[in-house]
Amino acid sequence: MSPSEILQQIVNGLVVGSVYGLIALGYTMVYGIIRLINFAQGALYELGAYLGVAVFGLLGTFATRNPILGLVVAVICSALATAAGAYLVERVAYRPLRSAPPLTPLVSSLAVFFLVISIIQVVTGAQPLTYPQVLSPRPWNLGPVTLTPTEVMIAVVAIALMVAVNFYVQHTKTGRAMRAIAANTRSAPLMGINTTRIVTITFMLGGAMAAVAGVLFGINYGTVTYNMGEFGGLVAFTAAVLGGIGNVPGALVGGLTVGVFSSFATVVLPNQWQEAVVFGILIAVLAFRPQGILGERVADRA
Amino acid sequence: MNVIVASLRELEALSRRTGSGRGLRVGVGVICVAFALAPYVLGGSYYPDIWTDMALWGTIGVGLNVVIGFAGLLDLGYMAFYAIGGYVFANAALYHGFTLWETLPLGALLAVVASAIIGFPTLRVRGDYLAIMTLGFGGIVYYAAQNLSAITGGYNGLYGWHNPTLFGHPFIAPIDFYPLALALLLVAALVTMGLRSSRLGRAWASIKDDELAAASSGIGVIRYKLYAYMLGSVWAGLAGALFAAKDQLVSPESFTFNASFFAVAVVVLGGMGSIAGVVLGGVLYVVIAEWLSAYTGTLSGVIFAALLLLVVLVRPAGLVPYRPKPPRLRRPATRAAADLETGGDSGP
Repeated sequence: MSPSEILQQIVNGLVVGSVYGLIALGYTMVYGIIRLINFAQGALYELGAYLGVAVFGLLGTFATRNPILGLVVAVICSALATAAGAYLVERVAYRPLRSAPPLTPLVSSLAVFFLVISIIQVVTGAQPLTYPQVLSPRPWNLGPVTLTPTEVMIAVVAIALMVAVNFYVQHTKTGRAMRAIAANTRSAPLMGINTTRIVTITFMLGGAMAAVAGVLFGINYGTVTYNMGEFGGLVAFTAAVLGGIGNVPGALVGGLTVGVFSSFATVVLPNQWQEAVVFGILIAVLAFRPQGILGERVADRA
Repeated sequence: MNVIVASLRELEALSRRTGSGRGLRVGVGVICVAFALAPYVLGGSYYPDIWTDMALWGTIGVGLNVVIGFAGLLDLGYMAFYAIGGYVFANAALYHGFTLWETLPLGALLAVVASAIIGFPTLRVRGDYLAIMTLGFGGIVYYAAQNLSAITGGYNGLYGWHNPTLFGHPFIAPIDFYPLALALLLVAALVTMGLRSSRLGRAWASIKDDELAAASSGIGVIRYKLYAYMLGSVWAGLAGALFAAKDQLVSPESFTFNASFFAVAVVVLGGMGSIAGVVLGGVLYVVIAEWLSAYTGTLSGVIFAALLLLVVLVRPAGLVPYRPKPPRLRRPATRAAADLETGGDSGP
């Protein structure tokens, strides 16, 4: 590989990785405050992508005439609807299990994951759906690398959102409440924090971010499939673990790292092994550095 | 050996007990006999696979029950061992001329070896992280099945071996494998029942309840978890080999993450720890996935996931919850203790 090819793969990886980082936010924040691996996150990402297509469909000719405005509307509507979905999931499938043994909510989240994906499969008839072309497909030559406007837009939006969420968690009252619950679930309510409300907000925020990631994915690749949430969710979870689960900046770091790794895998490895790389990273991180790159929580809780 | 003795003892204890339990056990017995005869009475040609699949999924449930139900370890990559059993059989039958009977123990052995290799690094992490790690291994086995064409046949899988025979009787149609699958299910159920009440089973139960307390009582937690992993995967290895022989095909599509998820669902749905429960879970899964989907198509996936969610929320211990017997005193000191032990309604 020539240096410019290597640089190109790194840039491609960063673009894809920023989307994964956005999904990983939901995993990492929910895990941070209630120590639940929310498998449903992958399904919410997929739901967001499909809702985005639906909104584009509803907008019809308006979106074809004003593609960028259409995209903004699609992202916002999809994020809001998916946040509502996340609220529903939390209310129905997790809140009643708050005091259950830890494996029960995990199974419940798996059930939600399959329920959402199966519903999407039934509704769409397992047919892939197509996203419209929003930005010009003509790539820009930036020195040794080429990038499409779409890719630049995706990375900018995803990273900006992650920075915003980090700011929200670090510098707002709600964010401080989230960190308080993460630090000590039992003493946080004694400080006047409405734990139920904060947990709900966290779920909804994670769902909204996953939906944005879903729409960005759809814009980037052009099509969405009913099983995209399975692999996408797993990659994003790997990103969250790699960055240090429970650690908000870690989601970005983990997402970009996983993105770059899998981007190189597409060049170095034969076709079918590319996806296995993510599993390899996941196992290696859990076996050798379960606290992740930035490190926060040690994997000692059952 | 101990296991067999223990399971026999448990059966004996079951049959000796009096009172309301008898009706239940007669019921279970009737259901078992009915299940064994059903395909021959109802006609196996309608859905020839469904009965054998029920027995195989029951076996999967019973095997995974050791890991999840007994030891409390969530394994999201259990079908990897099913895959190993299937591919070992296919390779041995196709390239080395072995029969099913010679391959079954080999498949089981390799599944156990693989579980030890996977379990050794994996079981050090706890709880939800373990689930993710097993998911990762399940994924790697799936991709290996797709890519290592030399031994797995790649995406198309392996097929085209001679059917096994027993005393000159050939096994061709899926229904021919039914008695075999049923026998495997029965052995798996009896052995794991024995395991549950053995010293090993009690160690698992204590790890499941409180790992720290178990370690403090001198239980080598990781070692016992590894035993649970190994003794659980045996059944997947055996069932996988039978499954491959029945379908006369083994391909990666049988070992996706979804399949491993369904295996977990079978155990949770039926009732973690309860052997009758997980068998019921396996039967239910096949009914929904194969019989119902013939009418509803992909909607059966929605129904199954919704059912699982409902059970988790409304009946978290599963459809047939496992209720461990209160520990029996060896020699009741007083009449009062004896009454307490038997519930007071009947003397020993």
